[in-house]
Amino acid sequence: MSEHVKEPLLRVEHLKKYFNTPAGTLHAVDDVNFTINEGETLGVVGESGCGKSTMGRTILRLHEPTSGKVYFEGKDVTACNKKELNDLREEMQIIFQDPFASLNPRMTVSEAIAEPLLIRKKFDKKDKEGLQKRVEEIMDLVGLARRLVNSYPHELDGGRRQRIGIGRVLALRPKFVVCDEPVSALDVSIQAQILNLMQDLQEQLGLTYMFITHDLSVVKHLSNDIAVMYLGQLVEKCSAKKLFRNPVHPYTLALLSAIPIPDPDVKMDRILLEGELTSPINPTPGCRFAKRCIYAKPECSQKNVDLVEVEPGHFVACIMAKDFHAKASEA
Amino acid sequence: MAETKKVKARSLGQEAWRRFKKDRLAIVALCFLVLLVVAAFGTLVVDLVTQGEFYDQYVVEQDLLKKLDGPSLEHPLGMDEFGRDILLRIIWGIRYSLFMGMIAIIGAIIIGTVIGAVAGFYKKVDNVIMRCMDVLLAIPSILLATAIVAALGPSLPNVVIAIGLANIPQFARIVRASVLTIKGQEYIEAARAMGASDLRIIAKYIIPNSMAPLIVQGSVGVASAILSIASLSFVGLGVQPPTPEWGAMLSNARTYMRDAWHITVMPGAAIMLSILSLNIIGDGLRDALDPRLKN
Amino acid sequence: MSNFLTVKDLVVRYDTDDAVVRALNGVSFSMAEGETLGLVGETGAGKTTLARSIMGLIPSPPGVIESGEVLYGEEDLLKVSERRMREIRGKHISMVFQDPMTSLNPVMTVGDQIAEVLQNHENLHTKEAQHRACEMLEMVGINADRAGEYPHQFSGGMKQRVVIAIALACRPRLLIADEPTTALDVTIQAQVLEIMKRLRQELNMTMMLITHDLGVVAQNCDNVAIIYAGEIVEYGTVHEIFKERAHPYTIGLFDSIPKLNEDVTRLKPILGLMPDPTDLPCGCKFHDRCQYCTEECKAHVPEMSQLSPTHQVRCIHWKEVAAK
Repeated sequence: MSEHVKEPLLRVEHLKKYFNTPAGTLHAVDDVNFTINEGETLGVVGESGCGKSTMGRTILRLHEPTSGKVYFEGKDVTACNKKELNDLREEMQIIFQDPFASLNPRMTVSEAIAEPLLIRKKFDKKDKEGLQKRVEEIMDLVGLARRLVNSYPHELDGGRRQRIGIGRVLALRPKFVVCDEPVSALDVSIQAQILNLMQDLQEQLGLTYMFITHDLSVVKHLSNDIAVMYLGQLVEKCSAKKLFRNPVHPYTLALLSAIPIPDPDVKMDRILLEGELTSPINPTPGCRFAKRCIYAKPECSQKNVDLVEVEPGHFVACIMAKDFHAKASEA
Repeated sequence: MAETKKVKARSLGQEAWRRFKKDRLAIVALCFLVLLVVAAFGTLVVDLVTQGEFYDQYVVEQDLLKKLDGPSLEHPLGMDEFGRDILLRIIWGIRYSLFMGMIAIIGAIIIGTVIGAVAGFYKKVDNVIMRCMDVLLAIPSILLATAIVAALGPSLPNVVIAIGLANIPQFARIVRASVLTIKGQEYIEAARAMGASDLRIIAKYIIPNSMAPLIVQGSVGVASAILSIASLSFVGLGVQPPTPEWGAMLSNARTYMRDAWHITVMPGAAIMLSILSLNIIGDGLRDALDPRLKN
Repeated sequence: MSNFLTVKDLVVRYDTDDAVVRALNGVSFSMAEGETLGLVGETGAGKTTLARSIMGLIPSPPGVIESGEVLYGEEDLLKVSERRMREIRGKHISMVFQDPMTSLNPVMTVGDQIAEVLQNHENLHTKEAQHRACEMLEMVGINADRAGEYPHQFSGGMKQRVVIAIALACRPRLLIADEPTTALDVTIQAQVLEIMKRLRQELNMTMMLITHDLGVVAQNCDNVAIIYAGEIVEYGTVHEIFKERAHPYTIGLFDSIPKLNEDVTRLKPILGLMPDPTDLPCGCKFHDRCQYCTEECKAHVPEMSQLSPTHQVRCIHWKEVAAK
């Protein structure tokens, strides 16, 4: 297990993001705590509406947090003023899910990649050659053929567009990148290309990723740690290996068992969840998963459940965490 | 395979033009419009070279001997009630009808875009601005224009101002609607994440992407502006005689409608044809700019 | 060979303003009654076009069915009258679309939407149709009390169940499901797939499951067709495809997906991109992405090779490929 000798690159403490909706207060992110070490990847997994994207955006302050702190290299992001924030955004970036919606259709490949450099005034407007050179460097880095330099996004396929999205983000040489479902809109064969690219870039540039996805198999081999989110809260967090070998939280178990395995000989032992994801509007105290949980007891709905460390580095938010963990370790 | 081909990039605008070119009717309409514009510039040149003499002599000067003469070889569209050549008057009238319509609409588009963009982008002022626009929209535009001209006095610039003002709300609405859609797009969030300022986001991201519906509405707007100018002139609030404005020509001619068909039909046809072609161009542009609608 | 549904040499193209999109280039396969066929391919491979051709729903223009036959029993669905086709749609063959959000009418209650299909096809009284609609809802696991609600009152998974209920209302013999669970979350996907499996058995339905998710195929299908650039490149039983695959594209596809049950540190993606359907390569459509490519591959479109009575591969190098 990684020892915490160094200050983690990112530390999130009691982060909350509430939205006011006509139906009540939506607790999109509710009291989330975690850290990410430099050069590592945290996979954040959850179903749609669980608040994982909101969390990524709140960390970057694309949404203003309701309360809580985010420390990046020891600096409190939530306390930054506008200028400091803009400076910080050179180091903290985000890759979006939809390569079709996340690029300005009126900008060519080179304009899109040059845009952050111009916004952050890395190049003088007159220094066209220098800028062009840097753009070409980035295009090489993310595997975009140079002949596409003047193409528009609508002329390119999803994989290439996502490469532009990645290139644009890397132009500023960030340290930390939030990847918000960067491959879920892509075909499988292209998805693998992009995942490999992201892996290579992490090694080359020492990037730290927060990889948000709904697809557990995608993050499995990319992540050091995985955090499972359910209705705005973390329910389990541990190293990737442990999560797949020794899942403890009933929701993680259900999530893992729901993924169809591409092997006809493996008969799946599904834990079918009853009911649907609701949205956490004016949530009542207690475990939010209790209504769908097959192990739920009356106590589950009485008070809030905090993350418990069942073994070093393995956190579970369940009142029966210790029992489940003991059972899982036996098996 | 595409890898070996040289990549020629085409912007969305170029794509749209390529699609537009396939629409024959729209191209005919565009040619007609271009012809009008060229003719109008021709009249400007003629006026400049002859220092208005030609204009005075042939367009304004009355020749009562020839009044109400029908179309002939010498005067293909005939003569009006004061014996002036209708063809020449229509050609000289282009700059009042078509140009003034265009200027009014361009002005309305510019102001409307700013208002709409601000309203769509900043939630705080949205309500105030849009309610003002709603109030303006609630007044029939021709009535509004009439009121403005009545207040400022009937003159050409005042007509343009009146029609421009009356058209601002519709463009503001269109821009606001598309800003609201575009604002939710991920590329705006991406720009924000790069630290782009609001002004940059509006100018480089939002406005270029909301142009398409604006262009379509603009071309149709010019058509209705021409009609409004003609209507104002028709009721005597617009361009004053002897200036050869189409609506004014129509208005003056209506007394002689029973005696000479051509003096009402010709300026009427000019108005109709230019509006028709602008509307056709507008439809063509819509198909070209938003190919999803076509199929 | 069974004669429940046979597609023979189907060629479909779309004539757009700029170019001709070659969507299907000679697709042939057949299905036996009661089987589930998985149709796997990437975006633009022609999966949805195939489904629409069977349903007689190719939009025309721009779609043109150049040649081929779709035999449902003895009938060629490409030749029957529009009237007969309407009778077949819904009653004999029905379809579930990918996006449950847009395939329901937002201004009609879900009960009415199910009842409408029943009234159209079975001449039921309104009351009776309503009653049957409630039964259908119960069947897909939705409380019949909710029949009077509108689609927006349902969540995504629930809507997809309603869509399935509509598709199954007249007990069709063949159900074409076009990416029925792609828009859903995994836990919801599991629920929906479970319901579909149960209903298939209860109603003895034949099903064509279009998907790009190999996991879904492995757990639900009997036979699998891998489709690439408008051609079936490999066809076989689910076991043959998953264990003895012999087409380079199929192998590439399997290597591209991250697997939960295996430890992989790095994926092996297929190089290059899907070919542009307006400008398909000559010969084997996969040749420029294929590591086994030879001159012969570039020159001729390979024929289907028969590996076993049920396993066919469209590759001349299949022996070499399969040996690896």
